Amino acid sequence: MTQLDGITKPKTKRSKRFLESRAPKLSEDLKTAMIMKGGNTSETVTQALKDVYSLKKPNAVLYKKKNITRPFEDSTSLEFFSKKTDCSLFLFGSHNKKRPNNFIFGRMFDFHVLDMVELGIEKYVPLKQFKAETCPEGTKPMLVFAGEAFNVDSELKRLKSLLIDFFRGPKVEGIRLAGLEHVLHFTALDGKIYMRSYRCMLKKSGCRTPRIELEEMGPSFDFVMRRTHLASEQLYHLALRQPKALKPKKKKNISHDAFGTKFGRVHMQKQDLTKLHTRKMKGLRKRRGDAAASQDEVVAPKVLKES
Amino acid sequence: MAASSVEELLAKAELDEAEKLKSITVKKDLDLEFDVGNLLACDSNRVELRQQNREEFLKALARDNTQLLINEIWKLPTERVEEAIVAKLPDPVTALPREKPPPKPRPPTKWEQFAKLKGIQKKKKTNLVWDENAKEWRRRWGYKRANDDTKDWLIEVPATADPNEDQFAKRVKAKKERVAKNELNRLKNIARAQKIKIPGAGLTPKAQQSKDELALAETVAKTSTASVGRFQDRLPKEKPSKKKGQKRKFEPVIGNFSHEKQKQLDLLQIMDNKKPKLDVTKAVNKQMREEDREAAAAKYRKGAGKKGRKGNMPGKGRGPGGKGGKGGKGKGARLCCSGLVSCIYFKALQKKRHHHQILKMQRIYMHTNEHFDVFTTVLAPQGRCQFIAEVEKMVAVHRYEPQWPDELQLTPGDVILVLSKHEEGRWFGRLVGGQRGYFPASCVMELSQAKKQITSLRRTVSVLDDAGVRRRYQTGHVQQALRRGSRARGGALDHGQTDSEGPDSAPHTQRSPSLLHRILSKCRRKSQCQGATNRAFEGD
Repeated sequence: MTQLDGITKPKTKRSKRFLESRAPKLSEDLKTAMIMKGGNTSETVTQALKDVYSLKKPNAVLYKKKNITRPFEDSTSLEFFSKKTDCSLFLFGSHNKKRPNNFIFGRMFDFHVLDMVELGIEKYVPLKQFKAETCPEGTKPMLVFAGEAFNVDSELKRLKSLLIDFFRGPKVEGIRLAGLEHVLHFTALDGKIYMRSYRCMLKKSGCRTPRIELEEMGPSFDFVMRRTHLASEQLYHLALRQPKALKPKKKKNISHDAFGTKFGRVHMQKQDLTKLHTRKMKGLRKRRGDAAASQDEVVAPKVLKES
Repeated sequence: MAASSVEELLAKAELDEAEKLKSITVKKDLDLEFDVGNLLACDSNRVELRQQNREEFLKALARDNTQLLINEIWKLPTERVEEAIVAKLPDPVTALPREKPPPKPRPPTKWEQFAKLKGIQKKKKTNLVWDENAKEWRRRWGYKRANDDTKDWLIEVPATADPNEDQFAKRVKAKKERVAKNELNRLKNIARAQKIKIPGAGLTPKAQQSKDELALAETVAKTSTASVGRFQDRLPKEKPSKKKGQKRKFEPVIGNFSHEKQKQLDLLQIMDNKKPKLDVTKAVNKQMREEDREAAAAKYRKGAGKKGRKGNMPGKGRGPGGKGGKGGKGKGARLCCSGLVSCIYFKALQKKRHHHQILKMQRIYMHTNEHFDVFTTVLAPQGRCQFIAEVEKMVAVHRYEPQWPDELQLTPGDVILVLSKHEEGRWFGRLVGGQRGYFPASCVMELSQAKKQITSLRRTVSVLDDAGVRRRYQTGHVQQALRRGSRARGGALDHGQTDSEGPDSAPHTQRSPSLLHRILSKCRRKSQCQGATNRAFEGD
């Protein structure tokens, strides 16, 4: 009974708030991730999972127990967990002979698996090995994707969007410029994906914009793409659909030209142009002499006597 | 000189700028794609690992990209918020899939629809209401509310109420019912919102269900089959359900005035006509059943039974004749059609009229002249044997308006008894209504001849529509009626005719005359009795 259906009403205001937080909303907030272990995990995998958890700290749940499931075969267990904890992202780590040091990144739509990508950890440098100072948890990281493969390969495209979903922080209106510390850099090179986490220091440069100096701080991963289970185009488009209410309301009658000038249209009633009262130029007024000459012509409109 | 110095100055300025920006400029083949809202930068340039250490290379690459991203961010408008410089981020551009599907707007409830239709606005009610008894402001509803009638220690028993009734219990019960009704409506609203079908009233299980509700539930269950309940077995004494599932459509109260007026006028006209409707299928089926029954009965009692019935013939035979005679007076030319339609209505009056008509018949009979011998000769036998009429009977085939005072008005189908043919082409005859006069011979045709023309016609329901056709069929049913003369089914006056047909008619009737004929023969209507024409003389 996780839905706020009218049939069974919540008895307390607290439970009502809780159900409302779980109900679908117009504009969604940050996605939470659940990080879990498989039937058999190696040292690397457990450490790696912990590190990723620390990267995603307040918005993630780390499960301590092992879950003997195979996501690619049967994802019901994952879906059940996601329903219980209201998490739409998951990271499943496992280790076996065939697939050593396996990471499965995945996301859900409506509590059903949307995309799943299996990455193998080739090289892993844990967080502890880095002597550098880490940035506080909860900082919004800057994400950089390098390599044309991220735009060309469809699987890598989805992986890119998945990683953005996973690692981007909450949606904020403004960001403190001094607080831009964390950088996550993903490089697609030779079929491998290198993930590095740096701490950036803003150095003085001659102008307003500072110069960046990086220092490696976080865990570094060398991934290799294994299996994928990507959603069909249809389902993906369905998931991408935004409610109409979020669309910005178009203001009518405002247009901009190439130069940026703002134009609008004023609608007037039909006017009798002969009776129009415009600025009078005394000098242009018809004199008596001219009037006699132009008698045959159309009579000039009446002119107000200027006081 | 000055020009060159200006140029130099400008060049120098440019160099200085470049120097300044040197630290933050990054040279890239392709520009990066930025999504500042997400703090995202995408580098589409080719990544080539050269001699250097991979880590170093990656770090350098990262630095460059980050620098470019920072440059972008620094371009945003900033503001000062509590000793911090905050840059205003734009909306994110990258399309990312949602977590859950977008929420669907709740469809309006029944009350909301009604309020929108009527333009009822929601008025904000005050939280507190003045309580007269407690003389203080209390909340409108809830704990310790104002005007709480459950706390009444006294309830006046109304004059119309039963003195032994418990008014307090009645109030509590009423409240419970209101609450239950409200809850039901709320659930109905939800069901409508989610488009869930709920069974209608009477089908939802209740504690005490009335006979009608159970019957309704049973009918619904029965008709919920692929063939809509047609082949469902019924219990031995079970009657078929009357409810066909059609709903009445109620017209709006205020609206179409002309439509309403028309409806009322139609209603009045129907009442005025006093023409009962004939359910043809019903009548046909009834007729068929009766025939079958009679055939079975006849088979069963051969011989002896018949004789007994034959004896009865004469008296009963008068019945139809009488009715026919009675029909001769009174109202003017009433079309057979209208007359034939009132099978059911007539039956209701039958018993009442039967005796009355018989008396009349007798009276008529007594006043008959030699021409009425036709009746007696026909009525006497059992009906299986035919008698040849001694007088000529003709049927008018053309319309004729009297041009002389002593001429007859002829309409096609009128049966005329020709009394004398002393003139060539101009005969003297008697109409069914009793009128006597002259008429041209060309307008009439011999009955027997005419009859032959209609033998091909079989059962048609549309008989009712065509007056002429109907009349023709009269002969068939007339004979049948005579044969069955025992039942005084009013005006089966077709008495006279049969004898003329005699041998002709016998084969004719045996050619399975339409059921409808028989029905129509049975239908004696008021109009027939009082009616314009004497059935006896109505031709083919």
